[in-house]
This record gives sequence, C-alpha cells and structure tokens, in this order.
Amino acid sequence: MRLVLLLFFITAQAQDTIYLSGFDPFEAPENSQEASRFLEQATFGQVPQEVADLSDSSFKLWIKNQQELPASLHRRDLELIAINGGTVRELIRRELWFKKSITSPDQLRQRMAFALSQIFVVSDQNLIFGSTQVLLAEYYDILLKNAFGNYRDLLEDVTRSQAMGLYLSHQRNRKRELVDPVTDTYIEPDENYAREIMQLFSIGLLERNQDYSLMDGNASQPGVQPIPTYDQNIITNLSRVMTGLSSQCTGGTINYLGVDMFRDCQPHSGDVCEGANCNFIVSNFLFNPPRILDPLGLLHPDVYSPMVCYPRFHDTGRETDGSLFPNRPASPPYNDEPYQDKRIIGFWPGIGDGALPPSDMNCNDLNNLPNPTAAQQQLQQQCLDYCDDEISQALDALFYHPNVGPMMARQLIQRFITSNPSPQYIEDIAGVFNDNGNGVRGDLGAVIERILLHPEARLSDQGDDFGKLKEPIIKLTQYFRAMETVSPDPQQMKWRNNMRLFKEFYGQIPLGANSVFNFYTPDYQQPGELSGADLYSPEFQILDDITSVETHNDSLRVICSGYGTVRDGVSESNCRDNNFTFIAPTDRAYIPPAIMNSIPTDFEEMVEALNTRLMHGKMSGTFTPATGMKGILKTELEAAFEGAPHALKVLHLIHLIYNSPEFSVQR
Amino acid sequence: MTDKNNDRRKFLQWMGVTAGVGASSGLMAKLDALNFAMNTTGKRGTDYKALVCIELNGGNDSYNMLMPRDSMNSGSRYDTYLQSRGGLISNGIGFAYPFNDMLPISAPSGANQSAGQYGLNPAFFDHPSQPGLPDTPGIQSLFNQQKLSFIANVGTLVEPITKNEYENDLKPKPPLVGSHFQQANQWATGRMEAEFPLGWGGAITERLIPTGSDNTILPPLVSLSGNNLFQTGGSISGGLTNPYTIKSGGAVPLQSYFGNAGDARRNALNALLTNTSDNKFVGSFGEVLSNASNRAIGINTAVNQGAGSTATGDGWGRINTPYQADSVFDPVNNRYPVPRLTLDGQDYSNDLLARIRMIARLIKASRVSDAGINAGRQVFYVSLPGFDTHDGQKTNHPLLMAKLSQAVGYFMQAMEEIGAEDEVTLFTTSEFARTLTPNGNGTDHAWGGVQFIAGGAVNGGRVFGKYPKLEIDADDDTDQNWSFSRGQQIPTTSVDQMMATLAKWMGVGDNDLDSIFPNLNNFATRDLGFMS
Repeated sequence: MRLVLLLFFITAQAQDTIYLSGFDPFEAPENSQEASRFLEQATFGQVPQEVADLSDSSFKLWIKNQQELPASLHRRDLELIAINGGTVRELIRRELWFKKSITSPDQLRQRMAFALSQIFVVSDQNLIFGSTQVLLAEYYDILLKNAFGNYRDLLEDVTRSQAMGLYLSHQRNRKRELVDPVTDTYIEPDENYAREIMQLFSIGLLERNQDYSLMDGNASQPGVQPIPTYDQNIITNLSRVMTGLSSQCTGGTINYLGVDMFRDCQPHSGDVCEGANCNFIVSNFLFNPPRILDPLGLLHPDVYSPMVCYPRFHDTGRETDGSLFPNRPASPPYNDEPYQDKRIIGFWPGIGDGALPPSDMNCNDLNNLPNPTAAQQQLQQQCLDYCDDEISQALDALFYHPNVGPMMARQLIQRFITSNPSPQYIEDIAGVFNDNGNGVRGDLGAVIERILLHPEARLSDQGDDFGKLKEPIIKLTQYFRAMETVSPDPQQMKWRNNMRLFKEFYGQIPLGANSVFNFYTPDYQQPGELSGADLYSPEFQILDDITSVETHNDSLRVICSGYGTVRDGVSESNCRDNNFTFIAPTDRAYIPPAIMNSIPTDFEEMVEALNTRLMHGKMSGTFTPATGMKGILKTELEAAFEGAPHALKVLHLIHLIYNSPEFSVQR
Repeated sequence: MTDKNNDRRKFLQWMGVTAGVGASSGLMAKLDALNFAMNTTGKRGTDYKALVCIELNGGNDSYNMLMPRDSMNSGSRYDTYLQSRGGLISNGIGFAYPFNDMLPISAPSGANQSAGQYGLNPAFFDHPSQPGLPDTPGIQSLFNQQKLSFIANVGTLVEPITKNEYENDLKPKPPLVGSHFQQANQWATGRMEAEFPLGWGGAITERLIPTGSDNTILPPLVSLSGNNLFQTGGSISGGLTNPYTIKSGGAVPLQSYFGNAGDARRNALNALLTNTSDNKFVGSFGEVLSNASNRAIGINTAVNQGAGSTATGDGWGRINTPYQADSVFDPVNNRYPVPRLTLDGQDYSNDLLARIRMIARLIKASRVSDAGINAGRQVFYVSLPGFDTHDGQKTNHPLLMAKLSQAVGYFMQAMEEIGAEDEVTLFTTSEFARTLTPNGNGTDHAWGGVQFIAGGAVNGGRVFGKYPKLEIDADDDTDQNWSFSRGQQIPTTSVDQMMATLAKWMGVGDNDLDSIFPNLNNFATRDLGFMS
C-alpha cells in the first residue's frame, strides 16, 4: 500500500491531489528508523525515548505539539546567572546555548531559531558585544519567539532589535544633514542595514521565479539575463527610511528583577520626559543607556528592548529647519527624483510605485519641549506615527515581494533537509509561505511543517545528490543526545569542556559567523565531485584541512569523557588506559555507565546498537560477507579489539562512526 | 537542483563537461584537450616564483591609505580631500587626516603613473626590532626603498566606462557594484559571471605547473585563511580543488590512534574515508578528511626539521628575522610567540603577522631541496577581516592599517633574509573602497580604490594608475575624473589589468591571460608596468 503511494508521488499533480484530499501518507513513521531519521532532521539529535514515542505517534502530531510548547528562552537564564554572581561573557552564553539546544523540550523551535540565526545574522565576532551578551541572548529570543510566527513580525522585530542595530549599524543612524557649514559637510545615512535586509533577509539580489530559478530579463538573448531586484538608488533611499532608530527612554522607572531602574537614558538622574515627548529629547537619541548595573551585573532593559524612532533624526523628507529637501542633482544614485520622496521597491497596492512621500508637518520645532501642551503632544505623536508607518511600509514592501517565499524556502530547506532541493520542493514551500491555506502570507510554522512533511524530505534513498553535510555543531549535539550523555553540573551548562577554541575547531559557533554572510553561503559548491555535478554544498565551505582534522581530534576528547587515565583522582578522558575506571568529569558531558552497560558486548550487536542510536539504522553494508561500513568495522576491528574493556570498544567504535563520512552526512 | 546557473553551465559547456557526467575525472583531460598551454618554466628545481595575496575583507577605505599631500592651500588636492572626507578626523564626523600627520612620500612620473606628493596613513610607520637590529620597515619605508608601489583607483570593470556611459547604460557594467560577495568574487575570478567556479589564482597555477610534477607534500595553492574562491583551481590530478589550508602554527595532524587497537582503528578510518558511496556528499567528506590527514605530517616535517633545526624542530622553515623583541623562536615550547603590535601606546596582538610568518616559513622550506617540496610556482592567500567600517571606523581602521603595515614589513624582511625577495610578490585586494563622505561614525560601500604590490621584482616607489581628484559628484571625461554623490569613484584601472600584470610575471602567456581574464582585451594597457 505504502509503496504504491510512493510511486504515485512522482508527479506534482499527484501530490496536489492527495494534499487536497487531506490525506498524507507521510504523516506517520512506518517504523522506528523513520522516526529516528525524522528527528535527526528536525531536532538537535534523536534521543532513543523520543524515537520510541514518535514511532507510535505521527509526524504531524509531533510538529503540532512542538509548535504548542512554550518557548524555552535564553535571555532570562543569562540574567539569572548574572544575578547569581556570574560573569556573563560570550563563553557563558555559548554554554547556555548548548544547554538549551540539547535539553529543551521545544526542539523544533530551538532548531528553527538556529536556522533563522544563520539567515538573519548577528555575530559576537564583532567586539561591540563583549560585555553585553544579554543583548545577543535577547536577539536569539526574538528568533525563538517568532520561529513559528509570521515572517513579517520577525522582520519587524529584527529591524527594531538593538543587537541588529549595533551589528549592522542602523542604531542611531541619522538623516542627511549639514553638520559643518564651514566645510559644507553633510552627514549621510548609513547604508549597511538597508543593503543587507534586502540582499540577505528578504528578497535577494536577483528576481526569482517561485521555484528559485532566475527570471529572464531578455528572452531575445540566449541564456538567462538576470534581473537585479534593486539598485544603488533603492539602497540609498531605503537607508533614509532606516534612520532615527535608537534606544527607548520612556521616562519614569521600571522595576526589573527587584531592581528599580530609571528609563530616561540618563544615568540615575530621575525623570526628564514623559510619553511621546521622550522621543523628542535630542540627547536621548544619542545617549547610551547605562549598561551593566551594579551590584547585580544586569544589563539595563533599555539596552535590549526594541528601538524606537526619534523624529528629529528620522528622514521625514525635510531639512532640519523644517523645509522640504530640495531636488538632488541629476546623477546616480539619486537621478533627478524629488529628494523629499523616498523611492523603495514597491510591490503591493498601498505602496504603488514605491515612493514614500515626505511628512506633512514640520516635526523639528517639537524637540526638547520642557512641558509640551496637549496639542503639542498630539503633534509629536503624529510625527512618531509618520516614522513608524514609513518603516512599516518599507518592511511591507519587502514582505510582499514575490522573491521572499522562494528565498526563505530554499535556505530553510538547506538548513533542515537537503542542500539541493528540487525546484518543485522549493516552489511547494514558497507556495505555503505565500499562503498557508487560510490566506495568510509568511506563516513560518506552516512553512517548517511542510518542509518536514514534504515527500522530498520524507522519502529515503533518493539518489546520490540528496542530503547535506551536517553542520559541525549539530553533528556534535546529535552525539550528545543520541548517546544520552549527561551534563555533570546541576545547571546543565557543561557539555563540551572548552568553548573558547570551539570556533577554531568547528568553524561554527552560535551567533558567531565571521560576517553577515553567515558561516557559509547557500551557493557554495565544494570543488571536485560536487561542483562537477553542479551541486550546492554550503557546509563544505567551512570544512577544510584544519577544521576536518580538528573536529576529528576533538571528538575523541568529547566521546571519551570520564573514561581514561586517572590522574590525581581526575579522569583524563582519553580512552587511553586499558584498566581505567569511570570517573565522572565535572566540566563536560559524558555517557553514563548505565547507558554504556546497556550496549551489547557482542561485536556485531554492539555496532548495530550504535547504528540504531546514531545512524537510524542506515549504516551501509553487511558483516558477512564483509561489505560497506559494517564490513570495514568488522574486518579491521573485531579481532583487534579482543581483550579490551567493553567501554573502550564502545567508545572507539563511536569515535569511528562519528568521523565516518556516512555519519557526517544527513540524508 | 536549483538555479542551474546559466553562467556556470556555459562554463562547463566551454570545458566540454556537462553536469553529472564524470566531471571530476574528466575536467583536466578536457583542459588538456583544449590545448591550455602548459608553461614549463614552473618545472620544479629550475626556478621559483610565488604570489602572496592579502585580501582586506569588507572594503578598505583606501582613500585613507594613500592620500594627496600637495599643499594645504585652498583648492589644492589635499584641500579637496579634506572637504570630501567631511573635515578633519580629529573632530566631528570627518575622516581626513591632518596634513602633517600623514607620512609623506613622493612619486615620480612614468608611464601609467600618477606623479606627485602623497601622504600615507599615519599607521604605516616602522616598528622597533631587537636592540642593535634594524627596525621592521613600515609601508612608508618600503615605498621609499622602492620595494612597494601603489595602484590607484583600481576596481571591477568590464571595459573603460565614463560616468555618462554608466548612468545611461551605454556600456556594460560589472554586476552588483557595492555588494560584498559579488564584488569579491569578481576580484577573485577576473570574471563578471556569478558563481564562476575557478579563481584566477587557481587558474594560473594549473597552467604553470606541468602535469605530473605537482609534489605530494605541499599543494601549490596554500591558504592561511580557509577555503576561498581566488585559490579554487584545477588540480593537477584532475577536477577542481580547494587550496591547502594551514594554521599560523602549522598543519594539524590526525590524533587519537594511540593505545587500544590504534593501528587497526587508523586503518579502519582510512577504509571508511575511501569507501565508495552511493552519495556524493558522503564521498566528498571522506576525500577532505583523508587528504588533510595524509598531508599534515609531511608538511610539518618539511617546515620544522632538517638542516639548522633545533632539537625541537624549526629547521627548513626557520626564519630568524625579528620583528620585535619577543619574536624569536621559542625552542622550549616549540613555537613562535604571538606577535605583538604597539599603536598609540596600546598593545595588540597581530594575527595577520602570525599567519604571514607561516607563509614565509613555507616559502623557505619550499626552496630547500632537501625538504622535499621543491615548488616551482606557489600562490598563497591570507585575509585580514574587519574593513567593513560602517561604524567605529576611527577606532578600527587605523589598527587594521598598523597590522597590515607591520605584517608586510616583516614579510619583506623575511624574504630578504632567505634570499627570495626577487621571487616573491605580495599584493592586496579588497572588494571596493568606501564612500568619501561619512555616515556619522563610518563610511559605506563605494567602488574604485587603492591597492599595493610589494617585492624585489616590483618597480617600486611609484603610484600606478590614475589617482583621482577625490571630488564629490565629479564628471570630467577629459580628466577621467568621475564620481557619484558620496564620492564613490568610478575605477580607471581594472582589476584584470592589475591581476594580468601579476600573472604575466608568474609566467602566464598572452593566450592564457586572455582566457583567464576575458575582459582584458577591452583595455589598452595589458601590462601596467609595475613588475620589472
């Protein structure tokens, strides 16, 4: 019955027919191997009990349950560490990330946030985040909260995020303004965020069809002539929209975790503004809220709460004196457009041709009013509304661009399922992005559900170009979960012992890409067999002669944790001594003896047990005759292992499996 | 597969290879069949040449690296610079260095050159060395010693283009000017096509090293900064290949095979890595780890052992040249200490110097026949990230300049010490320069900028290309002075001209230059003359 249905799935129409009828043969796993494979794709690693539970349930129900679980957020935990006297540097935030990713029940949400963190990139490699790791944890929480929400809300929250504002420098970005009449010097809006929000976070560089193929700009010429989605002019104009955002200073005090904090952007000086008037205090825009509050070591909430608009510095199409901007000279990037308008990409009815008109009113005489009248406050609110509406319209223009569906579909599929999704797969997911079935655009919960349940994700044995190299960090968490390792400290913060060299070894660390272009690009092709077959392979970009060997070497230290030479009562975790006793380490996770003892002693059964846990039973070959991976392990190791302690055999087998090409690829 | 990029397909068709049809093993055979001239000057043992590329990632504000310094009078070139950069760097939002803070240099006249008085970034000073030993020269000294020249206003171009032609689409433009990735890729490949798979560093190497003569110890393309497109090339054994990547401390050897069944486990790993698979990703992973683990020991042996070695290593690749008092090889810990840099009284580490030091050691070991590498042609790559200074430019850019200057000065000293200064040429790349006008605390993406080349074979102490007037919104065809509203300069020298001049010095013939840089023929000057 199942086989017949699979064959039926070869054509797209067949898929549509079945989906329309509400019947989905991929709704439930056929066996525990399928359940395990699914969890490898959808979580930070398959845990035996969760595999068993899913085997008796359905994929769809699992996804539904996952999406209903409350988000296990990161920032609050980090703040509690600070309150308890801990120093919150990036190593602690990384440890917390491992704890959450490995132990949280909301696995799909955590995985989705990690995937989103590689599209909407903010990085701790930028030194600005040294002592303000809470900012980054808050950014991750934004991704977690919006993981199954709407892409449009995510885009808004990311744009308003102070972490992003610092990283792509649109925090305190200012409108064009004459700042030095003597040298005739103008300050100009920073173009950084305007460029990357289009190129990386939404529409991409080139016009795409819904299956991600390029649109052809000129059918009369041979080949495909790509059509750019925007030009420098659009970037410059969007950078003008992205002005005036800075920390909010709402006035009054806030009690946070038992501490009264002033919210005036001044250091402990008391109230100086109220309501909308706070956004018209010029110094508030420029002021950094106090950062670390002694004695608690907390970051002030104004440092990580969403940025708000300061109309004085927002480009309203007007000069600082309130007069309309004059037309610019007839040259790029402005051409001869009226400078008071901002021309952004425009694809939805409210925007029309994409020109945002200037503010009706002069907002600049509303600044620094000591006691604004009710009428003045109303005008202030109108100015604020203009700014917020304009940003909102610009984000809408991006949101409604047809490119966003295929852009997000392709990248999310690459993170979860396969590096080279078929055009049909991308188009199907883009279709769900465009409309979740209830007329809603941008429903990320529906998108990830369809990505996981799509026939291309669920069918196994799909050929030699299916699958992806595992992200090195996920390969590691998979090991931690599949072998049911436990963290030794009560807070469960310790997994791998040293977070300092992690990036150097693995080429990857959460919120730690080298640039806004992530650890790797979606278009990377590993030179050789993969590029020869025109296959994309993003994760290969960080696999080189250094990281491939470093991760291999590191894996022995990880796997042998607690098992090895004992010196001064501490295990060296090196699998080195044939007469070791297990001593639980204090600084890293380990395989508990109970789990170790549950692995069979017979060589073939031992391999099969690990095959089930780590590789959802897909290890290639047979023991007899000796073929494939099973044959290699049996031929090379069974006799050589004679006489070694059971645990040592198990650990060394795990080490080889972990470093095998078959385990390193998810398919 | 998605996005079967048309350019890629065209490339593969040009190679006579279609996707999925045994491209891996067939590629080099096809290259041979296409009569790619194999230049035999690269034959090992006969002669040696190497290129060292320093990529300044993010877009270097290079009009604050080399500046006009004619006079402070109103209307002078310096005055224009001062105005365009928004006033002095010491106050407000401006980025112009004070006239007297810049390090003065003077460039003579010559073909394709811009004579005149220039100022260098103040961080291009000499660094003190050990007592009694000469200082490590900074960029200013290297220029004055005629070991270094600049190339002004170089950038990505399909063909020469005026502002009018640009604005009215009268001539083809490089796609996506201002975008990091796409511009960096055009620099790396010498091509305008998106996703072109072959870097020009890789392309020249496969032409210069005869089939069968690539040695087994160290591949000719070596990166100190990971995989990169510039060094992606055709391997001698067939198929496209990544560069060999190595750390500043050396290659990383495979560990874990001591104790219980060590040899058997190592054999098992080997068998697993080379086991044939029904999946291309599986096979490709095995290839990477297998190659990496096989090479590491041989490379470290070549660099660390041999004549002149200490008891703990550091032989064929030993470099004595100090750059600072604590720089001497530390035999107790068998390593060089982390290089330090002092700028404005502050102490910093200089990781670029650590990486470039390994390049120097590899070059030395590659030229000692007993070490077994015996390279004929090599291309090295290292990157210095952090140049995307939209923010915090006043803090970050001077430090980057100081690191660059110290590392290059050290490298030139090291090449002199090992007698390779005439055979090794170093050059910088950066995807674009930055807007002359400030955005408050930084600058944004622009286009044409300044690069430099250094080495004994460089026609040094000169400024090649046309140094622009640094005006805002300039449009002067007679003077070839074109810029946009924030001072973004239209390049007047193409990346292809700069790279072809370097490739020609390495020994690449005219026909090969045309196939590697297909737009080169659009420019009147194929050889900019900066290599002697």
